[in-house]
Amino acid sequence: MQRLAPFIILGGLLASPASAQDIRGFRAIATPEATPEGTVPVETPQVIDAQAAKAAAEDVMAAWADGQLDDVLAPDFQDRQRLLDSMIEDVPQDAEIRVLGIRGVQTVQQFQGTGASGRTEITSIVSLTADTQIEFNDPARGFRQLRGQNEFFLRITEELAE
Amino acid sequence: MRHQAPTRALAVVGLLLGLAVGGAGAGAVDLSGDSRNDSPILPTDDQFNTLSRDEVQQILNKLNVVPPPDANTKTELRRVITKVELFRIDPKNGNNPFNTEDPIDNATVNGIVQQVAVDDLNDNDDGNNNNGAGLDACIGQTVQGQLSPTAPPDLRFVNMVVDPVTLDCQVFGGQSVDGAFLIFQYSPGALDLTVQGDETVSIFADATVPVWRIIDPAGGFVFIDPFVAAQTVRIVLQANNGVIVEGTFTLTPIGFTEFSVTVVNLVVQ
Repeated sequence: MQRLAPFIILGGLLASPASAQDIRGFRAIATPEATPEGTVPVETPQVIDAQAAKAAAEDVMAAWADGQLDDVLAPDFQDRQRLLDSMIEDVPQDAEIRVLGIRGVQTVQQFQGTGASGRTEITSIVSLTADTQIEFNDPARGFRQLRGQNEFFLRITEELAE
Repeated sequence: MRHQAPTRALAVVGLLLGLAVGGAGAGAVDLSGDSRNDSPILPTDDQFNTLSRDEVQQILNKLNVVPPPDANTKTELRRVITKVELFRIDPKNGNNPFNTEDPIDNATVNGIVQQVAVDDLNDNDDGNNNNGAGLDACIGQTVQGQLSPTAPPDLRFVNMVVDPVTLDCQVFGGQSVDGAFLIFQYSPGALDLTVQGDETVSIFADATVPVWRIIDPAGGFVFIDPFVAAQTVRIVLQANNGVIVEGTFTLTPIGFTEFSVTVVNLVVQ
């Protein structure tokens, strides 16, 4: 029996279901990071409602279209100033952005602290995948639609009140 | 030995009763005392007589302070979103409107970000050489499947059009157009639009007035599953005027629901 053991194990490996052989792209798994100074993790996270997260994402897109991106870009957004400059230089004035769909909303991390107003604030790190479409009229090429799918990481701050 | 269990039980009950009575007694002692003097806010009686009116008011204000609510308590709290910040983007596919170099002219294909607009990559406009004279215009082109605004969600298309007389060729992503002779159509989960692991890309020749038909493989219809691994498929097509073209295509998965088509070769037989 002991001699047969390696063959039995090998047979089990070869008999693995075909579905397990699917090729899937590598995807970074969003993981909690260290909480900012002066905050503590929320012991029992209350996930951000999917509809609220979608509304938040649409607010970000509206800021993109209105040229108000400065208001919604976090200070730690990589190359923040470069993006703000590119928005002025490269994005046509009439460019609009439409959200075609949002899925995969998940609250990755939640921590609480005291806000500037002295009230308790909960900050949630939320990731979601959004399908977007930029639309504008190109003087040379006519109406253009640029579709894309990206994973967005939002920092949503809520104030607590009883 | 049989009498030891009831004896132990009685001892435990007695101990619990003793603790309960002791606890109640301790509570009574605390309540009877003047606990206000233990407060760091309240002054003693002697101090109180020396306080000014303002100082008394300050103490009263402190006593009225309600501690801020805590998310860790079980109390039902009202939550109001006060701020939303975007701090990171992971481009997955197509245009990234937050690309720092150029929010317009960028495209992510197979996880690689290129500084070229999505429509330049996929359309048959000039500048990408995916259309033009002869079959050579399409050979070597890679086009990503694109959603159609009218077809059911998740259906993606790549189209190839070849003029049977001039053999001018175009390959592009997007909605099927009349005259497209070869259509690659992603059909998720046998059209129930769920990812189940049995997704395929259908390849078929189509036009309002059929110009081309697939003669090999027989049947005029090919199913291919690029979501297992990149797949290469060989198709022979014949036009109404008798011209036969053999095409070789590679379908490459992008994630688990999207694909790209590379025109490896087109040869007139």
